[in-house]
Amino acid sequence: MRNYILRRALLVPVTVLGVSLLVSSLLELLPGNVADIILAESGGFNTNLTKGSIESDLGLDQNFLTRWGNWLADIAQGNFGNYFRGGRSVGGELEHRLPVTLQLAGMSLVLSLIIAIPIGVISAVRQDSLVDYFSRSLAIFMLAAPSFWLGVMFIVLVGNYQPSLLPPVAYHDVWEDPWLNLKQMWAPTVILAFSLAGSVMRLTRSQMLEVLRQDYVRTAWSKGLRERVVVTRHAVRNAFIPVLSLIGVQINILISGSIVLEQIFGLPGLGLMLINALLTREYLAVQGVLIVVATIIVITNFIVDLGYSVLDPRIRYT
Amino acid sequence: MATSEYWNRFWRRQLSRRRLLKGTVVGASGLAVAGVVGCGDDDDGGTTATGTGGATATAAPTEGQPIPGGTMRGPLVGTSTGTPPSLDAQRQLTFLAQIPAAYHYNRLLKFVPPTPSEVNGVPSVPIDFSTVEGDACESVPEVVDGATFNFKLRDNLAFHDVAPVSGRAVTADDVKQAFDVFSAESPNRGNWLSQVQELAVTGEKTFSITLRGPFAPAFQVLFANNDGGPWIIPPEVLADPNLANQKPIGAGPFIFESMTPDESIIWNRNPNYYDSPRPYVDRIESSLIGDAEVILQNVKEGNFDSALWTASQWDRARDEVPNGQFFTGPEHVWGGAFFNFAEAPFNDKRVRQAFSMAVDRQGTLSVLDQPGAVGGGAGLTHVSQYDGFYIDPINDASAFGENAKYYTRDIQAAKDLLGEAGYPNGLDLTATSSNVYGPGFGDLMETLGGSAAEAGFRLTFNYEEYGAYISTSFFGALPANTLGLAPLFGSPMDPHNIFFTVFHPSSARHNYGPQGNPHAIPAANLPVSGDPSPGGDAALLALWNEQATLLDLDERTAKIHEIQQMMAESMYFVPWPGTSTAYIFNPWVKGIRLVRGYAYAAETLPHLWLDKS
Amino acid sequence: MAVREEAVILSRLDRPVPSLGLRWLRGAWWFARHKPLGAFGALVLIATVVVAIFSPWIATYPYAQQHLTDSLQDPNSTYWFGTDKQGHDLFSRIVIGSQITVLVGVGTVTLAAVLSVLVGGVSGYLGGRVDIITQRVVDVWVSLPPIFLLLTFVSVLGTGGSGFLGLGRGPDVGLNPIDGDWIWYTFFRSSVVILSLGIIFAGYGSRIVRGAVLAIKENTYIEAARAVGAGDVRIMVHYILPNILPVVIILATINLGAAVLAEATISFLGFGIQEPFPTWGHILGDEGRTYGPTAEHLMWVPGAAIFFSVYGFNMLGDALRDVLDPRLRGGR
Repeated sequence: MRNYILRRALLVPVTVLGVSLLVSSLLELLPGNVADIILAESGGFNTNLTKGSIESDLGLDQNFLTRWGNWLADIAQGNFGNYFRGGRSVGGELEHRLPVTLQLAGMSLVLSLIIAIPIGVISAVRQDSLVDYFSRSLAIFMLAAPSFWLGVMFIVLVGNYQPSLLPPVAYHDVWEDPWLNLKQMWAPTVILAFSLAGSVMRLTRSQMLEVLRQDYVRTAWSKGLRERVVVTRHAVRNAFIPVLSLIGVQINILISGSIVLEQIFGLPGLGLMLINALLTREYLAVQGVLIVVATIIVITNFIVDLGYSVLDPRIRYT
Repeated sequence: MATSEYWNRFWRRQLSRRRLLKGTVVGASGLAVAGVVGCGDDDDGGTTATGTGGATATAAPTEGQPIPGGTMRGPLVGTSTGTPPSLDAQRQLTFLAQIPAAYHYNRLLKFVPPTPSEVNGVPSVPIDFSTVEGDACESVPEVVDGATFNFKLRDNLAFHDVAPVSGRAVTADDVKQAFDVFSAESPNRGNWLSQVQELAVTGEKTFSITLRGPFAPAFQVLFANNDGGPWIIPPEVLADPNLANQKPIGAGPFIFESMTPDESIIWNRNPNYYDSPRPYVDRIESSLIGDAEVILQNVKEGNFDSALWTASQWDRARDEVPNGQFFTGPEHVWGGAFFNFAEAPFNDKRVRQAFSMAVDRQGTLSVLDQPGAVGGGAGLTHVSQYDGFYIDPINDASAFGENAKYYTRDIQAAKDLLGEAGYPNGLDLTATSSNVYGPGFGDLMETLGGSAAEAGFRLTFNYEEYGAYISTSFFGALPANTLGLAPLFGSPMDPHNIFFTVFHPSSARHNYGPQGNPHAIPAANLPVSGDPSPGGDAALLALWNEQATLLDLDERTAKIHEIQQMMAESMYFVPWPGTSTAYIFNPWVKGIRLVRGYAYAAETLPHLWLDKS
Repeated sequence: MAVREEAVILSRLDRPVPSLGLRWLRGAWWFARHKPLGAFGALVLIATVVVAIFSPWIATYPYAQQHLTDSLQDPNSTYWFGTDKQGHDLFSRIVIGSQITVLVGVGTVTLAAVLSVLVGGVSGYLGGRVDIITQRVVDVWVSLPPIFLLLTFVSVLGTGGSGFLGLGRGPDVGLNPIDGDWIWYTFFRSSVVILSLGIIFAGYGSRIVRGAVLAIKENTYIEAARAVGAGDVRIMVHYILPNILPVVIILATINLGAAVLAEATISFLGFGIQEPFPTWGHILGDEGRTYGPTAEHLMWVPGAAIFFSVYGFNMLGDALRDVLDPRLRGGR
């Protein structure tokens, strides 16, 4: 067990290193000389920007591995470089935007669990009942309805029929004004939670069904325990463990989902930062977003795996 | 004296037209006229104006006493809003850097609002940049010898009270240093370089600018230019890229507080603004979100006080915001299809003519121009924003002459021309543009481009990243079988802006290939024989150069008419029919006096006040 | 995906292989009777493919034809799904847009399946150092959200104009403009998206294939084959490949919906195939967002098209998974 955790923990930095290698090699993918492109794209008038300055910013005057190493070393000191146009610090930008995405993702995750787990449990306990069919159809709908469609529908329909519910435009930090922040965040949170809840609901249901067929549950029934006790004490706890593992997958979906919702609702998160950085070819910003997102996902997966191994005594890692 | 006589007659024409319309504004123009004529032979009976530039501004008297205070909210540039990549207006071409500049910087002169006319029950603001007043300077300059302009800065003009300038007075030296950077580094310096011989500091607050020769649109294009500078920026800021890019400090009406990308730019009132007690509002929060629906709903809910709006959604906004104060006017952003003359098929004049005859200008307007403010659509020819200079090829074909046919839709003629040029089966083309211009311009480009399909121009759109676009395609670096289709000039103030900046091979920026060269081609190397571009068109080049030197208004107008007729035939660029523009203000916004173009913050915003009672 | 899921798939794979053709035929009939939703999904897939292939003939107007006098019409007998701002017939645009759905969907899962089998198969079969290194690479690959990677790839390679390596436009369009609407040309337009998505999905797929290969490798018949002198390639092709086929099929169908959704997402954001070629995501993100408030059909129709295709593909994937591997239920 300890060995497993150690090995698993070692994988975190290895993977992050790998991601950084992948991300910095994105520049190599570009056709043509990156510095020339950036220089041309800056209008050709900015005398502060020369081919040499861009190359040294990007480290293009060094070989790939040195450049990668330097970028990593800079990042380790919190220096993600600057935007080519305007010179804003990428690190400052990330710091500003990360909380927005994390808040959206976190709130959606919690909300999706609150919606999905009870419905999934009831659906399994009352298998093949009307409730079950309804919840299964709901889950299917949730899985297939694109969140950007729901977002557009929300803006259009609410705008047409109940405009007072629309979020205010200016973004408000949660620490600065929680109420306005909530007014802004609730709609994208609900939509994102909605698209997540489908898979959680289905997994909860199938896990519950499996657990309900287990011997110890049958024993609990035969002891004459009430249904509520059987379900909550014996079944749910065990069914929840695989659901937990799903969260590892979910964080990926959550962050992917946030990119569209941030764009639709104008939330200044990492997704919007990536889109704008891609649109303006700010490669250091693109790299910064990708490495930060990958690190979050890798660490989340590590924590989930740990939790999983601790919670489920049947699992023995070797 | 020729110079002042030209201006004299020019102003008088404006004045007489306006006198018929509204009394209050005559006062404004009258003073401005006095400012101009005060330095020449004073046959208009005006008094020499000193230090009255700011005082000429008139709020409509019906609106009561301005109430100071409050926060003004709205999108930075309507549905075209985006996050400025940089705020360095002296070195960046993009409208996203130019529009914020007027909040915190000054120009030498600024424009006096024209009187709106009425179109379909709402005020329509004409594109009229004929009248100027002092901005950084206390008045319109004195003109000596027709080519030397003596400027005097306002005594009470001081930079914002922010380190490192900390509220010190603006001096003529500051202006010189700022303009030196402009003429060395700005992508918009073309006119300045070719017209200005010297800027000489003559005192702490006085300087003179000497032109190389007579230049009719000097005030509009050089001294009050609101699209690209020169801006008066303290040398401390220009020397520090961090300040210039991210924390601008000037002497303008608002003090920059912060910019949060994808959120907002915030300014505070400059308490030491030369035109105190203006600006009336304490704070400006400009949203950087350009989503049309979000903007409209926020105007409707009262979260936004105002917004620049889009003509294709005019009716909807009228329905949604029934109490709103609406303004329209011809779109001042000029654009259309532009080409790389080094590549097929647009090196062939017949293909360009065919394209112009294939597009459905009237149909496009019928779909996209809901306010219908301008009948034919601004930008229909190469200079149609300017009443006095414009001849209408569609409604007035006989006056336009034979070449009016190139503006008239004729599918068969277009197909014939294509066939003659060797493309009897039509052409598969890429239309390149950028993705920052918002749904209004996007619809215009797609509708116009798509309407050419009937004649065989099958277009696929390619929306480039703005950075990539502005540095390559925008300068005409287009591959074969590709045309550009986009807004080309955000705020042209005089026909010369279009002839020179957009077309002229000597312009530091011109929008055609072959090399997308941001640097001017020496005039001596022009024209090149066999060059299918404007650079090879000796007759047209001569006319472009000549019209700017004509200080007699009628003569100049005739020359510009001639140019329009010539350009209809050569079709170096195919102008689009610009739709109308649209502004919405909530009912509590008072003191609205609109000037078109990019300097909204200098000419309109300081006069606005909020009455939410 | 989770370790668990692989383990579960594997446990089902040590079955003997019956005659393929017969099994498929019988299976299809059984499938339709026992999995009506899955059969519905299969119908959606078949219908979409048929519509996509014959779209130039089904469409009532050329997709780029404007009817400026019929701007923003509600659905009616002339324009079955209404029109957009420029008076494009929305029905024709949706029909032509199905080409992208089919090409990107099928193209992506096919490419992903091939790459998954190659990477996962080799990694799992060879094991040892190759396996460890490959798995670390896959770790990296799957730790970036697909949409982020996809946006990055597509914007680096470009989808407008003639696109990546000039593939965007495809071969010269023939004399008849309608030729240019044929799905073959659309394939070139969508090549960048397919390439990017296929590579991205292959990361996830290779994991599962590898797990399957690991399980099969332990079987006695593999050892027997090796004992009689079969080489690695022969074993992989003749013994392992047929056995992992069900896993690959499940993977492909499950990913079909995800691929369609991913393409729609980037098109919605404006990074996909460019105007005037209609993609469902772009119609929703451009026309739907701008004019949806006044013409709601611009929001309903493309959204519903995406929804129903993804719904159908998901149902098919789920049903196939239930049939081929019932214990995987709800694992997604």
